[in-house]
Amino acid sequence: MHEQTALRMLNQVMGWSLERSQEEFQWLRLISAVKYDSYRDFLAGMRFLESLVGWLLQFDPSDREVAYDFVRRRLTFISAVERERLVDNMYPRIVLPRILQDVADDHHIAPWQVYTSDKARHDLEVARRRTLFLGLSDGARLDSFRHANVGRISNEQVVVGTQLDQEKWGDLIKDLKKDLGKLDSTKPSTFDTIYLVDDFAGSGTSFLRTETSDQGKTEWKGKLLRFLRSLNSAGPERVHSDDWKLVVHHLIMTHKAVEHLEKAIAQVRGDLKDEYPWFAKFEVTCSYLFPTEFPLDAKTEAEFHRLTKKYYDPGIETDATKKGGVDHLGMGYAACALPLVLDHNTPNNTVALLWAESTAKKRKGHHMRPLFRRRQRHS
Amino acid sequence: MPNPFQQRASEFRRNEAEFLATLAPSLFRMTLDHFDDPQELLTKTVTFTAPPGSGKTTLSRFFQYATLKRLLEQVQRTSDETYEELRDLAIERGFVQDDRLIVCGARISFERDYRELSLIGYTPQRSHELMLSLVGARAVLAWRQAFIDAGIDCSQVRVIPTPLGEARLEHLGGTEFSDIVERATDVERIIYRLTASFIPPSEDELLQQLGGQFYPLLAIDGFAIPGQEEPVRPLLMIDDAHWADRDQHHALMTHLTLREVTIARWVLQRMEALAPNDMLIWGQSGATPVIDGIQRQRTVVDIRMTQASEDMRSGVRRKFRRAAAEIAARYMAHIPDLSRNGITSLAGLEVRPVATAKQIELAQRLPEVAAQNLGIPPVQVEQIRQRVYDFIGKQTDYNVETVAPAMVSILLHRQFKHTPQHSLFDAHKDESLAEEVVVEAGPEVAAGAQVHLWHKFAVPYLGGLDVVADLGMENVETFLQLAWQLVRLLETQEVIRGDRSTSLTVKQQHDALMKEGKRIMQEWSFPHAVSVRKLVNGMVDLCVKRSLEPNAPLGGGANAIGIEQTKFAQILDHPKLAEALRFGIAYNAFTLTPGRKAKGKLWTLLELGGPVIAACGLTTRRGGFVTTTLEALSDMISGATA
Repeated sequence: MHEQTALRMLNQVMGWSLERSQEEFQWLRLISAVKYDSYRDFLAGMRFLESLVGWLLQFDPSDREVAYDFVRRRLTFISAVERERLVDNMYPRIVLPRILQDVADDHHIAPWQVYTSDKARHDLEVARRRTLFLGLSDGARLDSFRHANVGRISNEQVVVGTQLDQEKWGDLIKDLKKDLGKLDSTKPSTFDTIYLVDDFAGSGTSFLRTETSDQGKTEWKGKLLRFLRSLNSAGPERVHSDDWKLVVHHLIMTHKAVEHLEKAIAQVRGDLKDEYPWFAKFEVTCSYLFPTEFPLDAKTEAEFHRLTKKYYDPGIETDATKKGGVDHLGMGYAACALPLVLDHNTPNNTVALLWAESTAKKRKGHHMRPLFRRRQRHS
Repeated sequence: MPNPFQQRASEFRRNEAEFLATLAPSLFRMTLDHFDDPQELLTKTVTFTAPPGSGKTTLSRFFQYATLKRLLEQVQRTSDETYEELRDLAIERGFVQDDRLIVCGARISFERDYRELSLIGYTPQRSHELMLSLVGARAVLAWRQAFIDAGIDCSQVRVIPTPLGEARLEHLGGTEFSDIVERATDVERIIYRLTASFIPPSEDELLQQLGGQFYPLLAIDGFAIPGQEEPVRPLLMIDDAHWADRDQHHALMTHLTLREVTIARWVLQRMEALAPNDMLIWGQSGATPVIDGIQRQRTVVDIRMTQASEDMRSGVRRKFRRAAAEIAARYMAHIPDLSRNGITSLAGLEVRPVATAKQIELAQRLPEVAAQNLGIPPVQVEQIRQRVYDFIGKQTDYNVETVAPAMVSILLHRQFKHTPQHSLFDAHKDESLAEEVVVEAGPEVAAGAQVHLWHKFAVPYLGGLDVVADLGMENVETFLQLAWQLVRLLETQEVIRGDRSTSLTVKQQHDALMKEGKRIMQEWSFPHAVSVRKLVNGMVDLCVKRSLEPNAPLGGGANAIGIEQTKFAQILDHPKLAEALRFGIAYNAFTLTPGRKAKGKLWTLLELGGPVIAACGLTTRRGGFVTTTLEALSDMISGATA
């Protein structure tokens, strides 16, 4: 659809005055060009403006202003460029300071003094090499991380995937041994720190959660345990040091996810202490943490909250979404209530009005129409 | 092409054709038509001084050799009347003769690196010599570029020396232009390197490198170019001369006015280049009179582009309206979304406001209330009403339902002021013998009514292309900033309605102009902007109060303050005020107009800028002012007013 046609239709849908149209058109043109049209699901002829018109039409005329205001002032869209920026600053802001601190502690000096000592600098190189980075999904963008850190991080330290086979684990250790030899290091060929990297955590439950089985038993589930199982069956050669450290790093996180992970990881280690090769220390880190007031507040944003209930189809709920502990997805999975869209997909922690689409087969209520359609990974 | 309304005309146009496509000849005529003899501007040093956005750089770019050459080609190639008008202007100004260019205009910008030369630590004389040598070198290089752009082989160009300049020319490189270019390149490189170095060389070392002063302006009289019998006269245009510090500026002007300089030379600068007395008391005293905004001395012509004398101002305003219409049309033709749909003019903007039913009702009560409060006999009220409707009936620009009753109310108050007051105890007052009605309805009363209606009932009145042009106050940039808001609305309207309408209601226009005026004022960020804002706010208060007096004594009202000219001559005794005025004038917050005759005295007026008028609901008609003193203005800045 031609941009002007979409704007004209939008004006008709919203009933704006000329002056209001002028202001909004300026913003809409800018935000479409700079961000929203880059949403992966959009195609030529059906991009943001057209999607917005269709989305607004599902609301009663009296509710459209509230819906539009949400998009205008509340929606947060993380573009591919912004995500790349978060990947770029992972090493200098997260990884390096920690290695520096560890080496500094070993030498009983301040972190800035590490660079003034040949020995400490050498230990820094060794410590950096003994760090392993594993990507929990494509969204972790460890390919970009590798490119951004050429010369600092070796290709043999970065793997996209956490469930590695024995051969792969073996290769990692072999390469580590070779590189430590080149550095004349006497340290063992094991990894001291393992980073598990992913793009986004809204609730933290994908990484680690409890579920009640059909037999009524509470079980721990999630990506962490899948990784630890893989680590456990890595083969005869030791992969990690005795006092190895786990760093769970997400490019983007919410406070809710941080709190959940810190609590759950500590708890699962206690519950299953004999079953897995546990780390001595762990840390939850992120490149960007949403502020506490980022999620929608049902009280202070009552008008939009009302829309999430009024324009809802229970047919969008699935078994996977129920694992969040809240059946109604109006405020997103696990009631995370996020107003968030990522350029490659909309997380289901986001309010459903933005991403949910009713299907003829499953529809049980209002016919929901998405603004940024979500590609479902789980049924 | 980028949006021409939002870009400075002279900065973004990559080539001459694009630049020429946006020019309005009447804009240049506003400044140049005062000179019957074109040689006056080609034989003396001319300074063009004006606030930003007045068209100085556009003027200098137009008169560049390559631009005029391109113009002549465009005239041959197209049948665009504007190009022909521009060509005629170039002929009148002595740049073109028999379809050949006889003046080679080159423009250099007095960038900040010239100022660096005064900070190096050399003696003032040495740093001035360096500055003038750099100006000379860049002038030569600019002429070289002009020839290249015009497709002339520089190796074929010969320099014609001034009558006394042969020896100097030899020292500069000889009569072959390319040799002088080579020397100029060296000089520029040496001096530029100097400004970029951490530790400058000693003066002796520098002099050795340079081989002496490089003053081509004292040696060059003309250029003999291949294919043209008559030599071309060089014109050097030094733009942005306000970047020079005061001493440098003086040295530059002294150099340009030397007897040996025979080339044409123009200096273009913002008003802050002027000393306070030059700016504020200019033309008010001294042997050299100011006529039409020009002070002619023996060797210098000082043109203030936006300071027309009082009696010429209405003529200038009319010319600017025409220029504004031309510019708007040419710019709108370059906005694809508009030109594609035939929306290429602002002439269709409505001028007659439509009032709401409530506004009409409130306005129509005004005469009744006034008559009752003032005790005007009904027969007089009726006579006044008749006069108003007689006047309004012949007009098309006013909303009769609101303006007419407001005019009646004003005239009733005026009539009251002229009527002797009767005693309360005079029981035998015969209303049939009421005093004669001495008031008349006219455009100034209508203008006053509009301002009253706006402030009382928000009835809009700022509408129409002429009003937008008037709010520009003869400054192109201000006009474009305001006009753009209306063009945007037209663009949006076209998207919404798709009906190719070129019209906006007066309310839409007034609201947009007011909003833009407020935004411009909020974004003032020049030196002393804080003081200027306080001054403007104080002036606005005075003007609004006066304008809203029930009898509208000034007709449309006040949009200026006036100080007795003899008292204003003491302005330098108030240094803080002088600085605030200097920058307020330099950046279009207000304009200075000396020589206004009223009440048997001469006044210096400070007229509020167009954005202020639009933001605060004042009249666009010129002439009305509130008298005040320098002390009162100083108090506005210090916050001491009550």
